[in-house]
Amino acid sequence: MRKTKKVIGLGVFFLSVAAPVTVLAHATLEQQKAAVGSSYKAVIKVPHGCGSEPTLRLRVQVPDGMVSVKPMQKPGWQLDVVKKSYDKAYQYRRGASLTEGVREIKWTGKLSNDDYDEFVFVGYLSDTLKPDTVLYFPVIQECEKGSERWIEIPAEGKTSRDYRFPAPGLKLMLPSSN
Amino acid sequence: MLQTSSFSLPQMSKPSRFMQIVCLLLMLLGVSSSPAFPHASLISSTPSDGETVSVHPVLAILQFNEPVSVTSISVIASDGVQHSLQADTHQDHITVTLPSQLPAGSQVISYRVISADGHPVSGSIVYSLGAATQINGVTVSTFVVTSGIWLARWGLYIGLLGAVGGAFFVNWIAPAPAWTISWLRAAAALGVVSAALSVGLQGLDMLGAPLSTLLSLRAWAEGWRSSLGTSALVVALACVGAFLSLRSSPKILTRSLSIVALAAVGTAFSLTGHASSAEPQWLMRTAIILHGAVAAVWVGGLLPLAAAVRAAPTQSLPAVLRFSAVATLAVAALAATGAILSIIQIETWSALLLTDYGRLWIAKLSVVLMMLGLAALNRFVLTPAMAAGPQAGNRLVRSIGVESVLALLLLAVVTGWRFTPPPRATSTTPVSAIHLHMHGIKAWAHVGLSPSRAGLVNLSAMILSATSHPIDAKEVVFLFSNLMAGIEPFQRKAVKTPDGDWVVTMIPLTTAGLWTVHAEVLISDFEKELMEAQLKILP
Repeated sequence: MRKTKKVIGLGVFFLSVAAPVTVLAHATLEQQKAAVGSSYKAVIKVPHGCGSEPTLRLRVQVPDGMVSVKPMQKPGWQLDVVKKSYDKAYQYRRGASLTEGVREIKWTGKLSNDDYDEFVFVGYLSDTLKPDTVLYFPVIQECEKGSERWIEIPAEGKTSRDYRFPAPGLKLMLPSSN
Repeated sequence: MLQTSSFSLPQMSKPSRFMQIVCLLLMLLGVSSSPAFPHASLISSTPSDGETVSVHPVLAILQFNEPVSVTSISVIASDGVQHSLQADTHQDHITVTLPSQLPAGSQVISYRVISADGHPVSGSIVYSLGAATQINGVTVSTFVVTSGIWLARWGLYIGLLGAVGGAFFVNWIAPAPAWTISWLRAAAALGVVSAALSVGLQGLDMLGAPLSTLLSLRAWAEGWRSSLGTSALVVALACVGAFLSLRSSPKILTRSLSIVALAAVGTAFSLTGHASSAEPQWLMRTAIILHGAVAAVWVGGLLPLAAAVRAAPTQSLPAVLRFSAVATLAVAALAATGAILSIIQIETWSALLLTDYGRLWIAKLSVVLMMLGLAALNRFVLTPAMAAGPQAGNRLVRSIGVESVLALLLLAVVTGWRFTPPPRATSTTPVSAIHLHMHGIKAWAHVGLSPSRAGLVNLSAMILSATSHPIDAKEVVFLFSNLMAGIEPFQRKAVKTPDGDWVVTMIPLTTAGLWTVHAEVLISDFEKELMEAQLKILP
């Protein structure tokens, strides 16, 4: 078993080396699995601007089924939210029914193309969401000229890998038994 | 992340097995916890996508947003030839040395690179040398090449009709003096040489290459592959047949050979050109075969006829009468077949004046009418007068001389049709357009591309909702790829017209074959519809 541990240790080591490289990539979620009927902290990882330009604004569309969303303030960034009614009423904790909330979050500031940053918000994954599906969080990076839209949602039988600008995805799991 | 630590590991003995496990573990960890997708993208390039350069660049530079390594990079030249390139990688940009002798037109640099995290990224850059490759394979050739084509075609007509028609006359109507036979042989040689030259020049024209490259194999191969190739071969064979049939014996053989050559003239014309591609095919092709063969009888008979009359101004009367009878039939056949071809090709009266094709037709008909006037004079005035004395015979020779000059002029005019599409071909655009339906979930697109031939293609798209109502899309981008030809996707942004259609002009689909089109329709800020379709581009 000592050898096994060594292997895992090496694996973790390799991953930690590889990780900074792999995140030089699309806008993605840090935690890509969560159970329905639970709180979820979404951390959107943004590795670069649009090509060579800095990112001036980041917009996230809150997917249907994620309710009671609260974004996290970022120093140096102005935070705006768009509140609208949900597509239907959602049962929240302790029987509360929610019909409206944050549907879009905008952070306005400046992220140099050479830098990396994270954008955070929390919310509740309604238990009406289907486990074993993927919930997509379309993200738009607005730059000086043009924008990068991470909004492509895979068609049936395809995965994000088949797309050039895939929306960050969250794999929904069965609610934990406890 | 450590949930994968429960993965049971087999006993390890060799380092290679050890590494396999490490890799497997890495993959598992990578897949299960962090499927982060890489995104290396091309930021800029020299030459840039869509650029037109006057002098061919030595180097191409591709700038990416992160370090990449090259899997393959090649340039697909405007003549369809793919050249593999050697790339020098410098962190986030790569340089390639381009081939020094590329033909004018649109060139596609197709690349496949791997970003730092091992994800392949591919794409294409299309730039043009001189001018972009033209529509329908009709390239902008230099004046010299165009003049060459015209001259070679004229020489082909003169040699072919002269030799074959002359051989027919000598074999079936009346013998001709020895010097005429030499001229007819020379005509046959002119026909063969012109036919061969036409092939090479046609190749140059298709490649848009200058005359100086006439000796390149590529030009001849290209010309040979076109419909002109086979036609020129038949022309050459007809000329050879006519040449051989000019021997004095055996009569049965030379006579049948001259008939075969005559049939070959018509066949050669029916193998290429605008008229032979028109519908109904059986009628058009039959008309062309007859028209060509009969024209040869008339035009080619003029020289030996004049020679025969000159040699014996009065005794040649029976020969003249025989030719006259044949020519009358010939004129009737020419008029009938010419009428059929004209009606189908020109379609409307207005096209006669409004199109170059129509104007050439008027010019041709004017010359034909003059020739008919002379022919009538010869037949109804000069021929009956021949019995009276040699004077009429001499006048007849002069008249036939003028008629021959007119015939040369006529052939020069007919050659001009090589450069003008008939009104039929230009009025019926749907024939050469492709219509596609691209289906998405929330939207679909009705896309028209024209022409359907390799070259610069224009696209027009209507974007509709699933219930077929027009959608006011924010942005529409099309990507084109032809993986069979090694062309990775290149993208073109569509422009919205005032009527709400989305258009892209001059898309360099320069290679024939199956192309894949992707449409990316931005319906709203956060909603994008992706659609895909395939289309066939003809050579």
